[in-house]
Amino acid sequence: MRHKRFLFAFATFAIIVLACQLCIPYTLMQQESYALFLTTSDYLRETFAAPWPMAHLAGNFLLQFFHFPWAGPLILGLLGAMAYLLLSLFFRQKGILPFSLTFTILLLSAVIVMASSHRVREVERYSAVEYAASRHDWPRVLRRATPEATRDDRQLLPYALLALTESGQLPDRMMRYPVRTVDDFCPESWSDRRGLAFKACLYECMGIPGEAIHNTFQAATALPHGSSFGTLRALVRLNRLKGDERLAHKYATILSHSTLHKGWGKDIPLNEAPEQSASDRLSAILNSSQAPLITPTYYYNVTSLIAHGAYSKTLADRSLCGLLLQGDLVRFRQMYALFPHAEGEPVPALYRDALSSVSHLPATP
Amino acid sequence: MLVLLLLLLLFVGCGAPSAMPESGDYPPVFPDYVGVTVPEGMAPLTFQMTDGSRQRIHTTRVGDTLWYEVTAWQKGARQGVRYKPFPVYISHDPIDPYIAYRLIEPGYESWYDMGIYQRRLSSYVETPIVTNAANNRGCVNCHTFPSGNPSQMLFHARGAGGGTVFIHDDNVRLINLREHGPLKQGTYPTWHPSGRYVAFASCQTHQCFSVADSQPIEVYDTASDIILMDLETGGITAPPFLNTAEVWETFPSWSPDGRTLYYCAADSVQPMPEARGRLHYRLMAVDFDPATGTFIQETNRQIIKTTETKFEPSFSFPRVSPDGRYMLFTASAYATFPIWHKEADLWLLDLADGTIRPCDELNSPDTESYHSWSSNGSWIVFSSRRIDGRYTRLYIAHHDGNGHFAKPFLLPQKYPAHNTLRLKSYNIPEFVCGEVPHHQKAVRKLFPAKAKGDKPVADRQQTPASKEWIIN
Repeated sequence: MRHKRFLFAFATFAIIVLACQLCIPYTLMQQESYALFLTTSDYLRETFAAPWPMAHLAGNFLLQFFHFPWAGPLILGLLGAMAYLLLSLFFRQKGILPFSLTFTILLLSAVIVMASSHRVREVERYSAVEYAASRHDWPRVLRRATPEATRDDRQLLPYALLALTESGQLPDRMMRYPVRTVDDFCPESWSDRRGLAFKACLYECMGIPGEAIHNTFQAATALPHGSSFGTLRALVRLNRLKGDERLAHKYATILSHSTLHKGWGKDIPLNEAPEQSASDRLSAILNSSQAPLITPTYYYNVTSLIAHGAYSKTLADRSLCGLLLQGDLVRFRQMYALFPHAEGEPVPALYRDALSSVSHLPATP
Repeated sequence: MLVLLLLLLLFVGCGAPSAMPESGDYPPVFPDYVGVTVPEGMAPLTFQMTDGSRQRIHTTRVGDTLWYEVTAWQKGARQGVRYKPFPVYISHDPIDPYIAYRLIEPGYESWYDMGIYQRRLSSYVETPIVTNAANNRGCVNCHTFPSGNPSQMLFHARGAGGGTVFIHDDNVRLINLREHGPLKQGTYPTWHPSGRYVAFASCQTHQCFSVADSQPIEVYDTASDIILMDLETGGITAPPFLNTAEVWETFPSWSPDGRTLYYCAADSVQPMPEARGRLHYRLMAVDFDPATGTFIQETNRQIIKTTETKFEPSFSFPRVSPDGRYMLFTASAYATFPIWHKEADLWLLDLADGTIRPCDELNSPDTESYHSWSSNGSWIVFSSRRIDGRYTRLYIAHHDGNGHFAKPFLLPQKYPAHNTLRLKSYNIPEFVCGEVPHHQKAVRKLFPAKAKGDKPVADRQQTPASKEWIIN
């Protein structure tokens, strides 16, 4: 009897682990980045002010480990096996076999539903793309966000376009994707947590860490505690990128009050506020009043940065491809002439075609 | 033989203790409490070595000075360093027992948790007065108490069904100012010393974001006026000269005798936000007749005409000391929301002789912004971002009554690391003369759970007698 019980428990464990690892590995790994478990007094106070504090604490404690591949499936497998064992003890008078069979059938049904669900696959694919983009692994993003996949799920399109831009393939491959407008690069309507996380990634790539921090903050306000492991890690990274070691140290110190981030913050020097004279502070702030504004409209921001003298190859591609999507070939030619081009650098076919189609028009100043 | 051996071991083991190295410097501690002045009865100052060294503290009181002798051991080191003892001066000037403030993430457009809290200064106890769980996660802000009276307060509760919540003992009312008199929203309230009037700014506030690392956010108004509410009649008036499109008036603040209203005003500029660098608020004053509840337009005047600065400052948050002699305010390079301006500093104006100076003893390279006086004028509390440049923390400083402040000290916490670990900013610190009751339940009743098609406009009142909704 006991032997059978443990056999079924092991089977439960194995089914759950394999099903989770085969169907939703990235969905599970991403759960860690939305969770938060700290031993700080504010965290505990907020937790105990909400309903079900112990369940919340236990859940978030376990979610920390989902950061590692296989850890999520293994934990869920163990929880499933434990649930089976507890239930089998409860139902032991009615015979272990009927209960075990029922349990197994229900479990297998759940696995089949999960494996065949279009929605689950969609979420998993998005999670995989989000995970790869957060690590700037553009080839992996493009392997998942293929032209066919983006036709099926347009939410993947901004990530695909970002990956194309960052890997220098935008003018060559953009038209293979179902791009309709400039808004596809960064939908203005994306104001939910996922959309804001994408915008954070986009603006980090565009070299505007301040705006990436803005979107990271905004995304976090949708989460319990207004923060998460993913948020705090991003804030450490972005503030270091911005040169703000004081804030990076703060977020890292907070992270170090979790189970898996113990060493965080030790490599970040705790500097005093940078020495800046009153007149330097004043000039900085007065200059900032002239700095380009960031708006919810992505393409406005691109053109604004260029108008203020910013240049990079990726920014030029964003601008030129945007003009092509708007059908403004005349401005495309003007902008193309403005950007520097390396000698011998091949002109992408898309640009070549666009330039030749306006070659008959007189040049305008 | 054995005895001799043991004695030898004893001598070797207990040899004369090596002299502890001494440092001629004060210990590098966080928070920096070296040489600060604290009120008698303040919660003990807790601190840690900035490099994380272990520390042993020995405290001695000599007269009105507490001497802290710190010995610190770096990690792994057996030998410690004894630092030069540092003084903490104790003032017998009493301080109000509580500070009320809002805790909120120093975020951008939205938030998760926020609330108005109070802190007992004689201990580390912090309790909520009201949190945004009461108004469906809307905003709660701009709490104010008439002369620090804890039994009476008002604050704004924004979001669906929002308005201004007036609390007087157990009577809790929600009034949507937009539906009365001049049909204007209210913000930055200031309670008249008589308790009868409340002046508000009525602003159209926006914010913009820039790529500038030094100042990522600018909050600005595209219109602002001043309105006056008479709590006896419930009437709201908008004096025409304080409600023009050409001049934007904001941050009203009463003089202690209630006969003058100070405020800030700027000539409107266009287009906003592009022209925000040209927006400079000046300090203004207008006389007020409490008997009739009217402003005397002829007395409307600018109170600081020139400053000896290389730039034209923009002023905000004028607050007059209870003796009516000094005005503390915030000066920044431009615009109206200094908390996002690193150059924002506290300045002091002597209303008796018109002299003005930046309070160097209070200011830091980071932002100093909101401030308030204790009820006896001996202490101020102000917000500063000097720890990390982003999260606002509260500092308290002693005022000697002659326009000089002692070195400010950070509001002490039970564990100094709390200042780093807290992910919220402190907003709008106000001294309160006693403990404010917990108003969460009463306020929650003013905000029914979110429902589709909710009509949130009527004023509502919840009284302890009826425990029912009264629609005014």
